[in-house]
Amino acid sequence: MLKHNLKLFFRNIKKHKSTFLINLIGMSTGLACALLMAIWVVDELSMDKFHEKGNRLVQILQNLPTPNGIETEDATQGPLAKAVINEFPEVEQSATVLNNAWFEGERFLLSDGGDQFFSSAIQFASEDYFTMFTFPLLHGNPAQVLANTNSVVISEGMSNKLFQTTNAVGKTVEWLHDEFGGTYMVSGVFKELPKSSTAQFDAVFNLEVFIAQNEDLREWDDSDAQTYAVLIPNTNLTSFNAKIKNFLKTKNEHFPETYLAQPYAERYLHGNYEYGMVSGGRIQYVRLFSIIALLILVIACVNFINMATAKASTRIKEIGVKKSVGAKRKSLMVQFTAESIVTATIAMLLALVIVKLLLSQFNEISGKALTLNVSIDLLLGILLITLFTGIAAGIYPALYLSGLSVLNGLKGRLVKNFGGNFARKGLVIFQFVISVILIVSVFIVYKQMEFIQSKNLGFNKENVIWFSSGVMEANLNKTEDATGMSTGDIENFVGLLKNTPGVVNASNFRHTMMADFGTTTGLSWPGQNNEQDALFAQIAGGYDFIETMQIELKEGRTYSKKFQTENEKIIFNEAAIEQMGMKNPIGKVINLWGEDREIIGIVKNFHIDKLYKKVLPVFMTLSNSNFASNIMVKMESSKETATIERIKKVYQDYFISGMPFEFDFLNENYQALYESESRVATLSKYFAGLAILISCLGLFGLAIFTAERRKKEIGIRKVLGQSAAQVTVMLSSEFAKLVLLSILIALPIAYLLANNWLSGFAYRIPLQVWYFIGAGLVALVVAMLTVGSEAIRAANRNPVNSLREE
Amino acid sequence: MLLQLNNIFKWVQSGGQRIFLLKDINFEVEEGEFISVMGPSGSGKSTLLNVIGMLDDFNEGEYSFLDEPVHQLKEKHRANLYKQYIGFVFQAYHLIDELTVYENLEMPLLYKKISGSERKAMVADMLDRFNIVGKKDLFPTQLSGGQQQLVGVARALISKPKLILADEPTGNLNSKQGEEIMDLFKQLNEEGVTIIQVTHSEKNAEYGERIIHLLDGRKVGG
Repeated sequence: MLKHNLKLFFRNIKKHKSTFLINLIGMSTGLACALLMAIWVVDELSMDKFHEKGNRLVQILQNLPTPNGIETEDATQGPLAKAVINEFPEVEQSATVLNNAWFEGERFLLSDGGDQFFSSAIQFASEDYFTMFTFPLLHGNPAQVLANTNSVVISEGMSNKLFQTTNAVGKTVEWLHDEFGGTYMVSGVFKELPKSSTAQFDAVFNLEVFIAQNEDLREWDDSDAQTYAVLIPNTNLTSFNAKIKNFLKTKNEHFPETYLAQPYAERYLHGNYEYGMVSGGRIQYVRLFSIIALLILVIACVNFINMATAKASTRIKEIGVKKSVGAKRKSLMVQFTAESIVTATIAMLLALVIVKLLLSQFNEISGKALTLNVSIDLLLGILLITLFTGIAAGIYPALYLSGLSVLNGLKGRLVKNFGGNFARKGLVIFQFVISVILIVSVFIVYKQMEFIQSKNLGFNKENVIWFSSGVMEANLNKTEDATGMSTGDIENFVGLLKNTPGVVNASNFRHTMMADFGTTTGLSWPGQNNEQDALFAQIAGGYDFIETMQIELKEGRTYSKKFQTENEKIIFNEAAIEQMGMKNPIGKVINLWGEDREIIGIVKNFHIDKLYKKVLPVFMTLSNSNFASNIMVKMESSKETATIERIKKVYQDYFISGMPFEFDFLNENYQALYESESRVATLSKYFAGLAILISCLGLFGLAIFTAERRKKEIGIRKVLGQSAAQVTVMLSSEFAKLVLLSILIALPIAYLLANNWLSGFAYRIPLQVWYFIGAGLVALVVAMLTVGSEAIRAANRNPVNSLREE
Repeated sequence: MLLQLNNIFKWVQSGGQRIFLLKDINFEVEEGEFISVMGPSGSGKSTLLNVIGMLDDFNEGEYSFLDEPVHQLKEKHRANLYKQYIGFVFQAYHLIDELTVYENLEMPLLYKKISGSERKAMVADMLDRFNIVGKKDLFPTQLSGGQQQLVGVARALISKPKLILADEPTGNLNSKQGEEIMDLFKQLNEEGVTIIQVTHSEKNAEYGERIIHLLDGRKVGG
């Protein structure tokens, strides 16, 4: 029987190739989408779940009452970890950690004592850290590795880089830093941290090293460190939380903060807090995407069902014959469900290929490093999804087809109204509404992104690289003198850069120009209305920083070494002058933070903040000390690569040759400012494509169904003299009406959405009618191409055939 | 007695009126008979055949098949009955186009849970008997109409029915092919199979031992 049915299945595919192909495409895209999202969801769910003591590992957070409500933070007091283990019997182990978030993600330089430096993420932790968290050690004893203050535990990768071996225990590491710098002994090497760990670091130092420089960690007054605890088995977290809530009061009754212990593994997905309690977080996205994945799968299945029932006529005779020779309904149902499962299996294989091809793109959008690793879980998941899809898509056609009576089957007659002509049309309209909205979104998001990219910012971001010279301070600190680079050091270095071939200009900056600036209200001017607190943005840099950025001068002059006491001068942009309401500003004196400064120049407005905001009033001061330690270099275009090599050489000649030269392109930073927007752009592009594809499959199913249903009518019309062309138009216009209705529903929604999105930008493209008309046209044209072939086919059928069957 | 129809009525409602398809039909069929049903178009020939074949319901009357009261049987039981005792031959052959001759013949056996080796033997037997061994791997569309109907008859016979119902079995065939099929029926009847055929052709009707005439759903003779 199975052999028979398989033969029938494959011979039917061969006979109706296009139908099968359409089903396959629809289902495999749906499945690929669902798979990608499932992989993402599984990855999200697996974050931080690998710790062996995970079900007992908690992080103690702090609730701080503020005027804006309770804020929940992970920074806690230094002595907390020791206190909880001493005072609560539920606590089995505890640790204080200072992760690299404290350094705002700054990376530090380690070497093996030679002059080859490697940048690494640093974390400080107290003694029990490696016995509480499961970060397995390749070498070293977890309980001992952080016992001594001069020990360091490094990662497998760092060990390989520094010592070309993973067994580095006993070797010495040199840390180049003005506070913590010195020589440390490797006490252990941990295995490369899994991607599913939110904690990511290359080296762990003893917390005492940090405390030695930050004595306030010994007190209860300041909150800096993360506190973790392992509870004894079967501890009730709720009652433990009740006990520790007001623990801080026992240390100082005036402290307003309270504590909250949250399972460590939960923090990644449940990282939002309201009223001092856990309230959602990324889990909302996980749920949302799970629902979307399911929805896409369901729509793909519904299209499959549509297609199967629409194409039922090709199988009716088989059903009639089988029933007349004694086939029971059940065996037919099994047959049709099995067919759909086989189709789903083939679609799944195709979907896996699609996923494989799209995974890198998807990783780019999702910011993850997902892979398609063969594992029992994955195979099981795939099997389940395949079965689910196969059965979900197959059960309705199976019920419907197997329920046809023998006589109707043999006569090739479909039951006239099997429910859901309305549902079919509704589904098609729904799908097209979504499609049109997404097409409009793609138009608008892309136009706005293009606008942002080409917007004249008032300064020139092209061919500019910048790098931090923060590391240079450390380097010059070799004389154990903690003052950092002198003004002379910086000027010398900038001077060397300016003389490098290919360099147009160079200067040091305090800020990076990329939505990075200070703000102040501490500025007063003659004729100021004291009622208002005028806010100014502030940027600062060395000589030539206005020239390096090619900010246009409107009046006066910029900073120059030809003049004295330039540090006491100030330059404004037009918006700032306007804000102050000043006429003829050059030469006037204002007061900044209690010091008088003479205005020497006015520059044209430039966009220092993201384009969400209007141009800010900005003032610029001269800062050639080591506060302004970002070096910006403007290069000649089209020779950047060679120029950068030369800059690197200047850099490494001036400092230590082993120092890594890490730089950023300013225009790439600019794009990164709008990263979430470009993700929206990429995502909407994919979703629009997907929506169109799925909609067309739905429409195609409807077209076939309609053509079948109206076969007799078409036959009669043709016998009575209507031409094939007229019939084609008649059939197509029926679908055109549906699509037009969808467009009518979709456009107002799209307009509102677009307006809402664009209103986030102070500088935005005007909404033009053609975005909407264009999107409607795209949908209409695609729809007409989809149904056209079917309409033409139906219209050109020989009426004799369709009439004879009745 | 193979089957008996008593006061069978069948009607459809159309525009508030009953339109009778079958009106007070009474007749008996003994095992081994060869009966032809004749009548003009719309006289109810096919409907009668479908009622006898249990493919169609009737509204009133009694029908017993091998002493089983068909009108009182459940759907499932009825299906078992016709599956076991009745074979159909259709005007349009109704072979499954996607299956080969061999597979078409094998299909009824699949629904009877007959073992593989036995199926093989039975199909081989039929192919042999109808001289179509050479055609066993061809698809129906590769055969002439006569050959297709031959396969149709073979398929009806393969499950060894007591009764063969044939609805204009020669309607789509030319006269020579038709004659061959009729000769085959004659031969089968001689071997003991009961046959009821619907036909338009006087000549083919002559093959039957008894002719039943229908007009407007009513039996008018035979």
